[in-house]
Amino acid sequence: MKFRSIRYYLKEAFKSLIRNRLMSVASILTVASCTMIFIFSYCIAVNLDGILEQIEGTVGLSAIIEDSLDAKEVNALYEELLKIEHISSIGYISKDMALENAHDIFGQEHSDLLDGLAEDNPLPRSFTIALDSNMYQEQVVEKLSKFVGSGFESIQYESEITNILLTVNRGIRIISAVIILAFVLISVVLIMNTIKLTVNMRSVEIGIMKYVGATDWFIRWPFIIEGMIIGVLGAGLPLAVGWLSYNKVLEIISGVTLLSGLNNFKTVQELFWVLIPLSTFSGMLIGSIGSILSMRRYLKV
Amino acid sequence: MISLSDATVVYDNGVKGISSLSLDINPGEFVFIVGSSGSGKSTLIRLLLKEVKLTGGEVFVNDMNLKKIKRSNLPYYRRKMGVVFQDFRLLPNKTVYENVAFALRVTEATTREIKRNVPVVLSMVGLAKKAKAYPNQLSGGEQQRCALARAIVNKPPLLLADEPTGNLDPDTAWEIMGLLEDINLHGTTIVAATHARDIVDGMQKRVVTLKKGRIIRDIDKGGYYDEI
Ligand SMILES: Nc1ncnc2c1ncn2[C@@H]1O[C@H](COP(=O)(O)OP(=O)(O)O)[C@@H](O)[C@H]1O
Ligand SMILES: [Mg+2]
Repeated sequence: MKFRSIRYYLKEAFKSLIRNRLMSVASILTVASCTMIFIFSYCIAVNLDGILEQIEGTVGLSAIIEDSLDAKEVNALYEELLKIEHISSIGYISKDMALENAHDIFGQEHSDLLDGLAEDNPLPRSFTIALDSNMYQEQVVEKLSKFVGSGFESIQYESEITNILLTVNRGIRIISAVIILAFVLISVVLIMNTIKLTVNMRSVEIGIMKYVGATDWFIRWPFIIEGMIIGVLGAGLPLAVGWLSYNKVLEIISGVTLLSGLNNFKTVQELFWVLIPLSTFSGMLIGSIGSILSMRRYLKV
Repeated sequence: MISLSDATVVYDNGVKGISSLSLDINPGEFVFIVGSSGSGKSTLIRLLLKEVKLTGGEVFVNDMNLKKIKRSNLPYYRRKMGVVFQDFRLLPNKTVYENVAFALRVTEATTREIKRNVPVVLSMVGLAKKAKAYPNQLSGGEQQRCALARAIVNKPPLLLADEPTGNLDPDTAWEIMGLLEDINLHGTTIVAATHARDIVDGMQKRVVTLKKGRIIRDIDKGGYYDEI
């Protein structure tokens, strides 16, 4: 393909977009909605991943100590723990502290349930172990497991919150995937109609082009470029909106007390470094697929 | 240049456009294809354009076997011939200049070639002053001149015309015929389908007469033939 031809294709594509501005705008807006949802769910998913990491990192593990161990043995166990890599901190929960924690959990109203326990406390001692990063969890658990039966009763994950968040994250991904798919289909159909309208209006022209010896690709390119422009404009709009509003949204979220502890949000740059090329490329792809599909019939002359 | 032997075209609905037609046209000839409406003139032109499928027989154009031309090569085949129609078939959104330039653009000609060749053919057909006009601002005769300019700007060895004067008043028709004769004198082979009796009689060229898709008369120099 020669440069002068590309210039010609571009000119033709823009002329046609302007000639059918109503349909062009409709198609651009559909692609824009599609991209908006994609950007939205991508931002949520990526940030949720970050938050999960943050929470998982602080949650860590509990190693329940066997009741039969005396203080010296517990100390020896502690020494062993210090040798394990990727543990960032070790806390010790005595029987009394465990009971206190239990009181906190059950609250004042039901504290009578725990009354009998004060004399003969059945709650175990334990170490709470925090990790450098969640990715070392398995590795550390494996090392701790060696002491199960010879010091530790069991190793427990404190993973309830993590599980909830994981489920939420998966749910968001599935829902957004379904919505995005639906919008992609709508976009393709709308672009197909826009281009079909142009192609329809120009079916006589296409016939003439063929008489003059135009190749199929020479005829196709302006329409494909038209679809691509629709796709790129459709992606650009929500990208700009997303870029400009992302920090504002974060500010609002951080203002909500419930979430104020979270500070692991991704920056605009981190997110849009991926989103801009991905959305633009998808927009172009959707646009050109719509164009090619809408033209198949007319080129068979 | 053109050679048909037993060429037959049957349309999808079973109607025969032309049947067992044999015809040879040499380079540089000027041939009228005449006959009443429905005799197969347009079908012959469209066959040479490879717009309709050859059902039987053999056809060679510019030394190419029509049957052997692949779909992907069709554009290149068509660039070796110009064509004009009764209804001009100009691109309505393009100026006279752009309509003519278009035939060069599809061949990926350079901007220089376009700038050099388009004005030359436009002045040759007498449209230099209307280069910036759009087709709907032109008279029928001017539109056909533009179509002619487009047909010859690639300097094709063959020019096909289907009723080129069908929509024109007699004076204008003669002007267009004069142009065709000029083009022919420059060496281009011309095949013109028409039922314009006066013109055929006046031009005294080779005349091939069709009836129901068959050749019923072929004379080297003469006039319109009245069927009996
Ligand atoms: N697209 C078509 N489908 C079916 N039959 C056609 C078609 N075009 C032409 N015909 C038939 O083929 C015959 C020749 O037509 P045509 O070549 O157009 O004649 P002419 O140009 O001499 O008037 C006619 O009987 C016509 O009805
Ligand atoms: Mg006809």
